[in-house]
Amino acid sequence: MITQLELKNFMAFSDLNINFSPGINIIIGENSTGKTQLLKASYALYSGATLLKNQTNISDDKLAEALTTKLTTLFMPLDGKLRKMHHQGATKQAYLQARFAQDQEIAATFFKNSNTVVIKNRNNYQQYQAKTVFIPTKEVLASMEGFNSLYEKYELSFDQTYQDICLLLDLPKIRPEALHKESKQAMAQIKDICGGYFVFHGGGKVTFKSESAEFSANAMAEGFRKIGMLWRLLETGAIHPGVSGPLFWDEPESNLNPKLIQLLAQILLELSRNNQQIILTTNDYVLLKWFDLLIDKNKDDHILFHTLYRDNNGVININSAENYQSITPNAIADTFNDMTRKQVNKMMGRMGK
Amino acid sequence: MKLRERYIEIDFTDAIDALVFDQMKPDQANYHGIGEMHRVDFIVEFDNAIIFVEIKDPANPDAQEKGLLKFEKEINDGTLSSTFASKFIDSFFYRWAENKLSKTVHYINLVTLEAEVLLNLSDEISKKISPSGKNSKRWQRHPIQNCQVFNIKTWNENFPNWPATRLPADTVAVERI
Repeated sequence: MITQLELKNFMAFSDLNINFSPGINIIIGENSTGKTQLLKASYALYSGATLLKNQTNISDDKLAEALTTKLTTLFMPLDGKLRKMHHQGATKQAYLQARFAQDQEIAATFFKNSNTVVIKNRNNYQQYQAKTVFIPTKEVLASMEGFNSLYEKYELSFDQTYQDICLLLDLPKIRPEALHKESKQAMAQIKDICGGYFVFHGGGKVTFKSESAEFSANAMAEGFRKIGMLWRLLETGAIHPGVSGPLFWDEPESNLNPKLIQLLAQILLELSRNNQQIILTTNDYVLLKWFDLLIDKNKDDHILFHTLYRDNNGVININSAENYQSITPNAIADTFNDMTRKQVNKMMGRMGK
Repeated sequence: MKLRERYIEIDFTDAIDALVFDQMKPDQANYHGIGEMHRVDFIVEFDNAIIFVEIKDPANPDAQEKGLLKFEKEINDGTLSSTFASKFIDSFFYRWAENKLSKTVHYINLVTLEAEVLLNLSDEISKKISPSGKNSKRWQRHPIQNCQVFNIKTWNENFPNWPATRLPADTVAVERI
């Protein structure tokens, strides 16, 4: 579990500090306020520990090299250079620090001319760190056949999250008796709403099977493919409540109709009730509101809404709130208010003003 | 001109006439008198337009859990928008019979919920006021120019000349006695 992240002079951020909920974290904000960057930075620092997990006595240099590669393949800076990830206009070094449950910690820095990060602090970094999952915005079930070998061989314009997710989706499924009961229940709900389930044949080949027929994954609605990714990650145990690391999900709502969004919010809440930490970004009111409506304090639900915004000087800041009503500023609500204003002005002109 | 519905008071500062339309006390002015008809709360007249106003206040300090659950159910199953539409249609019919509908009519409502929910509620009510939201080509005028639902915050942002305020609970309780 990640508990805290600090970013200085890194990408869009000059100085940002966020405390994560052990339950669900929802990151909102206008475009270009760094939602995905925040998600990727958290993922990079969390998953960095697992890169060298089976090795002992890892030197700082080796860890720095692995982290540098992770950061550059995730963020894909210009020319693939780490130094291009230094916050534009900043004069001090970039600083990335994350804290995790059980007192683990990592801190790394780099300058405008650095080729690799420098490890500044590490505390039990490689111990107890569980595998984590990052689900990118676009669904991959329709395009993952052969993706991994292509990704290894060629410079594709996909960031590392796409390869990471394809590899996780292609893992074999775990034994049914090893599946968490919550995972089984979520999978049954998804199967029910999709009218079938996806079959993974290895090498990225995916089909969809209903009671009466089997189809190409491409023939299925994109929304089903999107939620099918969650189904598969549960089936392989990549998401295993109480065992796996955080689930990072960038805009889960894309391609989902409102009914699937309700199901998604229910499933994610149930997973979080079983000790699955979830960190997601969204631009969608329906998803936000479903979380707000489904939250049950009697079940120890804990959701934090984090809103990224630019202040008057263009500097990105963050506010965190425990309920939807307390989010300020709320770019999604502002859009609804803009629409309200537009209708009043169009239909009623200057009345009441 | 100030009008009040329970805890909410609106001051229509530039109105030329304003009445509590659902007045059901026979000894009061503007007694409505037909209990079978649905009624909006206020009708307010301006130089160039008339507004019908309905107020629903689930956020009021007396709100009980049972009532709130019913209100939520009515939003979800569409009953609330049907009620709003019926109130408009019956009140429109009544004012037509009074020969008081010579100006453009707007249906402007105040519901103390989040603004995001109200946008959809506005559209639902609009659709139900004329069947499927359609207008006939034979119509010479539109029965309703704008139908929209606001909360106190968005009402005040959009209609600064008609300030809406929530009255302190003790004020209302004393006046009732």
